[in-house]
This record gives sequence, C-alpha cells and structure tokens, in this order.
Amino acid sequence: MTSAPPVALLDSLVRRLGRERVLDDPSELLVYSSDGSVLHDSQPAAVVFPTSTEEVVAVVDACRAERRPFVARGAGTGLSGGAMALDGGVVIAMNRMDRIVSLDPADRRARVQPGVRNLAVSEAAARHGLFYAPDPSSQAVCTLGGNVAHNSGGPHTLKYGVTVNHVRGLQLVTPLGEVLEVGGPERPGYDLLALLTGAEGTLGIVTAIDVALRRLPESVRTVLAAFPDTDGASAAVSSIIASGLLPAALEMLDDVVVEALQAAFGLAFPPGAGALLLVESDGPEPGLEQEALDIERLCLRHGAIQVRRAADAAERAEIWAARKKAFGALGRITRHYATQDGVIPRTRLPEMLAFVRAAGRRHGLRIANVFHAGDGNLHPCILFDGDDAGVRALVQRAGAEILEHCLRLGGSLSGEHGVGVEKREAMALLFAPDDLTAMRRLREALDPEGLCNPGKVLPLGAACSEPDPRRKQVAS
Amino acid sequence: MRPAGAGDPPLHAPGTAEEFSQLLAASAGKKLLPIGRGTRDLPGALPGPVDGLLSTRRLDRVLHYEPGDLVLTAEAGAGLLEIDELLAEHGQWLPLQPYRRRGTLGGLFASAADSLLELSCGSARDLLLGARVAHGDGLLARARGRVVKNVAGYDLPRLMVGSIGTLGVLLEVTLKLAPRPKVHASAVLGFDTPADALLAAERVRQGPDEPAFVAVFAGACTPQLMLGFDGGSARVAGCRQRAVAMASRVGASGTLLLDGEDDRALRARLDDPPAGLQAPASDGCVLRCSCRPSRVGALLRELLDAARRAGVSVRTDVRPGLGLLFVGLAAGDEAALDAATLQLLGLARAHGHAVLLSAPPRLRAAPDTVWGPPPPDLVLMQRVRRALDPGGVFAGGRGVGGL
Repeated sequence: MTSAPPVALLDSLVRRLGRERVLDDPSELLVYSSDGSVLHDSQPAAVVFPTSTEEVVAVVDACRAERRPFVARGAGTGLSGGAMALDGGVVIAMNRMDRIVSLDPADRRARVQPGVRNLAVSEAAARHGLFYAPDPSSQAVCTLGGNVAHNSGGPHTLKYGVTVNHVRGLQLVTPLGEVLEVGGPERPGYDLLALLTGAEGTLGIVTAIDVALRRLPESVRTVLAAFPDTDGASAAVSSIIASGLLPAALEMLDDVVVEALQAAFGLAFPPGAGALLLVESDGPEPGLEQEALDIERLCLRHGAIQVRRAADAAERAEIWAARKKAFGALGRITRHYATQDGVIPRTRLPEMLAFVRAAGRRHGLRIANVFHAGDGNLHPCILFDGDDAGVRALVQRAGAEILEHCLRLGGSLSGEHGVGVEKREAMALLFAPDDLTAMRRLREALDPEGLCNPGKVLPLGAACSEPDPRRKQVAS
Repeated sequence: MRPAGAGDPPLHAPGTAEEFSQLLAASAGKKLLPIGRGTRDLPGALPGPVDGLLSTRRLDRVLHYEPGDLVLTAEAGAGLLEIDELLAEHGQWLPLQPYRRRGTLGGLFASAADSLLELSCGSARDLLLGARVAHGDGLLARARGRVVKNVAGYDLPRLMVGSIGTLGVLLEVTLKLAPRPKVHASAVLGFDTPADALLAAERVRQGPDEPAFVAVFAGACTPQLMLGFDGGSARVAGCRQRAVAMASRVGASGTLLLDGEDDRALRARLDDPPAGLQAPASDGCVLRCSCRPSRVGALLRELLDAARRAGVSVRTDVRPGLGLLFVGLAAGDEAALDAATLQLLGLARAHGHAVLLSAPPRLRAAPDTVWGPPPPDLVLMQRVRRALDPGGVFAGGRGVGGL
C-alpha cells in the first residue's frame, strides 16, 4: 500500500467535501485509529464527514481513483476493530448523517440515516406507543448503521430477534459507487438485506435504513433472582426454557460483577449472592402474572436465595441498572478490561462457565461474566492492569482459549460484536476452506476492487488464491 | 409440477452431500432444476428445457436435535410432517406451516413459503440459523451455525431463502424452534363489508393482545375476520375475549369461537394461503400482493372492483398487519381469466409488489409477468448469482428479472 503522504487523495477529498470536513492532522486522527476494542489500532490517512448519500459516493469515488481503502464508522463502540482503516485507508464517519428521515406510525416503519443513535429511534417512536426492538447495551451511543453492520442484538433478542429481523430496506452505496435501494422481504428476489446485515461494512456503505417498529407491550414483569453461583442460575434458565416459557430477556451476572456493582455503586444484594439472573416477561396482561409466578417458582426451586420483583417502572429501572452498569462497575475496579463475545448452545452454559473460570485461574487473570443467558451469548470480560505487552499477550491468549472452547461446544466466534480484525484468522477454526471460499466469492463479486473495508471478516491467509473446487472434488 | 416443454428430464436424487457436489461439478454446460420431493408448485416463471431434476428426497435425516437449545439440524429433504411429529414429542415446534405440514424443509425455505403465524412467530427467513449448500460448481459450503445469535461470516443461509434453487441446493438446515403453545384458540367474526372487517382487524392490531394471526376473507363470501391466539390458557382466553370485544364494536354480524379440532381445521385452511385459494379446477390464478399495511384497504377495494367489472370470481385472504393480500381468481374462459389476472397484477404493482404464485403455464412464461418489473437492486442479485453459480448450472430465467 502507498506509504507517501496521500496528497492527491486529500486534495480530492477536500475539493469534494470542503476543508472543515476532512481531518488529516495526526493528532486529530488518533481518536479514529481504534474502536471500543483496546487491543487494536491503525491510523487512517484521513477521516471525512459526509452529510449526504451523494457525498458518500463522492468519497468512495475519490478513494477508488487513488486506490485507497475506505471504511464506514458509526459511534466507534465496536469491539472487534471492524471500523478501523487498515493500510492507510479513509474512515468515513457517518455521525453527521443522523436524521430520522420519516416515522410512520400507521405502517410502523421508520427511515433513518445510519448515524442515528439506536435509542433515538425508540425515543421518537414512544409517543406513538411504538419502539425499536434491538437494544444493544451501548444503545445510548451506538448507531443504527453500526447495528446493521454487526446485526446487533441486545438483552431482548430472546423474544424479539436481532437487527436483521427488523430491517425492512436499505439504501446502499456499493463498493463501486452505485446508489441502490435494496428491498425488503416483500420484494421479490434474493434477500440482500440478510446478506448486507452483519456483513461488517465489507459489501458497501449503508446510507439509509428502513426499520420496523413494534407496539410497546401492554405489561412487563421484571424479576431479579440471586443465586449462590452460576450453576444454580444456569439450571433455572434451562428449566424456564424447558417449561415452555419464552421470556423477553434472560440475563446473567456472575460473582465478580456482583462484587464490582457493590464496590462501585453501592448496590445491595443478599449476602452469599454469587450470581444474578434477570428475567423479564412482557406482552398482554392476561396470563402474564402467572408467567412471572412460574419464573419465580422455578428460580426458587433451583436454589435462588432471593427473588425480587419490580413493583413499578422505577424499580424495573433499578433492576436493569445492575445489568446496564455492569461494565461501568468493572471499569471502576480495574484499569483495563477486554470483553469477549462468544456463543454456545444454551445447554452447555455450566461447562462453558467452568472453563472460563479455569482459564482465569490458569493465567492469573480475573474474568467477569455478564451475558445473555437465554441465547447462549457470553461476554467474558478479562480484567487487567498492566500496560505492558506481556499482560496484553496473556489477555489475548485467555480470550482465544475461551473462544476456541465455544467452538468445541458447537458455538460461534461472535454473537454480536463481529469478526472485524480481531477474529478474522479464527474464522478458519470455525469454517472449512470451502465455506470461506463461498464467502470470499460473494465478497469479490460485490467488491471486485477490494477497497471496501478490506482486511476484515475473512482470514487473510485464505485471500491469496482460490482452490479449484472441481479439482478438489476429483481428488477426494 | 413438471416444467413444460422439458419432456421427461432424468431425476437425480443423490444420497449424500458429496454426491451432490460431484454431480454438479460434472454438470458444466448443463441445466439442472433443484426440487425437493416435488410437492409444491415450482415457484416463478417456467424454466426452459432442462437436462435433469435434482431431488433432495434421499436426504431426510435429522442430524442434531437438542431440545434444551430449541435448535434442530436436519437434511433439507426431511418432511415437515415428520419434523413436526418429532418436535411435538418434546413440546416444541417449527412455526412454519405447522398445520399444513406438506413438502420438505428445503422446499419451504427455497420458496420462502408464507405461513399462518408470521405475525407472531416470524417468517421462514427469521427461523433459519444455518445451512449447508451445494453451489453451482459443486462447492459445498456451510455458513452460520447452531446458535441463535451469530454474526461470524456472511449470512448465506438467509440468502438462500426464496432463491428458488438458483444459487444452490440446500442440503442441511439448522432451525430456530419455539416452545409449542399449550393452548390454541381462534375466533371468526362476520361483517357486512370488507372495509368493516379490515377496520376491525386494525382495531385489534392497535390493541395489546398480540394475536398469533389475523386474516380477513373477502370476495365471493361474507367478509370475515379471523383471529388466532396461542399461549397459556389464561392468556389465550383473556386476549381472545378482549380482542373479539374490540373487533365487534365495528359492527360484527356474528361471532364464532373455535377451540380444539375446530380451531385446528381453520388453521389448516389458512396455513398455506395460495393452497387455500386455489380454484378447484386447474384453470385459476393466485396472486400474492404486498403493500404498506396502511394501504391494504385501498388496494383490496380496487382489486375487488376490478374483478367484479371483469366478471371473474375472486376470493381474497388478507393478512392486514403484514401488508399481504392473497387473491384467487377463477373464470369460465381463458381470455377473461388472463385479462383479469394481468389487470389485477398491474393494480397491485402500483401499490407495491405482486407475484403470480399459481397460474396456467401460458401466463408463466415471462419473469416480468410473474414477478413484476426488475427491482432496482437486480444488479446486485445478478452479481450474487454469478458468484454462487458461476457456470449457470441451475436453470435460470425463472426468478425476478430473469434470475
């Protein structure tokens, strides 16, 4: 890749967007050198701030003319290095495309620009009695564009699904600079929305998003159960699912998190609480009380030492605060933490948590667990203090071991944080070479010039040459 | 359905994924048409001559089922009936055509078949977690997996939903299951006009009762609103009572509450909308129209008026909250049927999209007649097709824009 200062590129960008919307001073570029992941960084050649689809096209054209890679970036809350520009590429910051273009309560649809914050959609919809269901923990800051890139979920995924289940249309600037309206499930043809959602910005840049809104549920029951340990809480999760209940959310917090919440925010939990299980049911009022009673009974049967039900909205917010403040609390008891994202079949939860604890002991690291128990999506959070390379290497090794164990149990590398840079080589552990060939063919078909967020998602080792499957078939 | 003009092409039914791969790798220059067990009407425009049919009927094993995970992996030729019976033993189900239960898993996904419970349980694309596919040159690829949340790699499985066998043959599918509701019940309300039935449906939609399905029948019958409820007994009874009360305020002429076998019979009739509307004689058409939910009433009125003026018999099954209208047309003579079908397709396409789901072969020759004009993102679809079926082995020309 070019190493000389990209004078021609900068000139071209400034000409198209104006000086004030192109950053190229190294001190200003620093903040765009990494995302929420503490373990990766790469300085871009420039950062640009388009305000319209036409300007995104202009930037893509400028990059193509100079053969420079480009990558769209939302709020930068991603945790896999997906929004970093590798090899002196250009970061296209979408933050100024932050308008809710339309909100149509009759059709329960909204069209938003990609820089709109997730929570802003639900806030705007609330006065019509509607909400946008995917609710990642970072929803107050993360953007819809980033949510589409990572097919983001959130605590309420269990009942409501993830981003792909709620996106109805996209406006896409293709890697070749074309602007296309990509249709939804009602439109005949291939389901390109499914392909683009979760593609981590490698197949084009989304410049508008049509989302489905839902009616706010009539009633909600929120229960917080304290258990001596995660085994009891896991058993309760299994029995809730086995009984045929499908709560809206099933979130678990382990002893390290409980301790951090007490130390950092003075939240009070019963003595001996080594795991918390947050269970929320919502829907029509008829039958909901019985569902909450059943959940409480199942928690107690599996050894809960305390079961607390939110009596009103304020108490519900208080219970959720424990979940939402978990990472903040960890941040107060440690200098750094690295959050992992792995998925396992729900029934393997106890053995996976035992493995995580053992990995922590083996490497002398504290590991906290806050996760979506209902769908087996774990977020082990490795706490560390040192800034030296040795500690970071240890953290990465522990994280890799945890991920590999997720795969051994039949799980996946990422539930919602994405593959990005962090896990691209691990993709070769999850998928066979032919699996990756199919993905690479798709990518090359849609991004033939290889400039749209390259170096992400697929292992670099596999990018060199495509094996001839026919030859292999004959050989096998 | 046999492709017209294809004579009697040989039927290939490989017994393993590897055999599929070898057959495809050795088929360069040929045209093959994937089918499941051949139960469903082949969707889309009619294929030209093909060199062979590819059936998955020998791939019918369940590969992995862990009830506690609510996930099942099976070969794509497995029958919906057999899968449903297995799941029922564990108090679970796959809520996609769970009452009709015909055909294969692969056929259900490849055709993106509509299902009664889409409003409450999602559509085929929402419940497919992973897949193994044989692509055009024999490449065997898996994508996604056995967990409900997964963003590792591109979502090839969902891309296969509705691709009618033009991108690959589904060999294995991994499904997201749901707890089988303990109680099912429904209600049928009669109204004086289709508009009243739709208004009542809208009241229910605005209300809190989260019905499992909402359907409106209009055309050659008394306008009817059908509401279904699933869940525990308290929820089903309570929600049905409230929703029926809300809908009745519009002026229902009569109400039937259906439970047990009666409820099940109604659902079986609604589960596969085109099947429910097909004319008893073979000469009829079924249209699938989609539009914004707020336009359903206007579109229905236009369609019924046009059918009446054209002198053809029309029945409609509307799913208001989803913005879907299924329209069944029948007529004594071919010319009248063809003219009315084309006219109604045109009306519906002015409001949104319309697909000819079922029609005599003479109306199914051109993709644009069947699917409507090529969509603006066709160029991306063509790139996807070239990537996954590089040699064009799968019989094309059947999908939208001639895919």
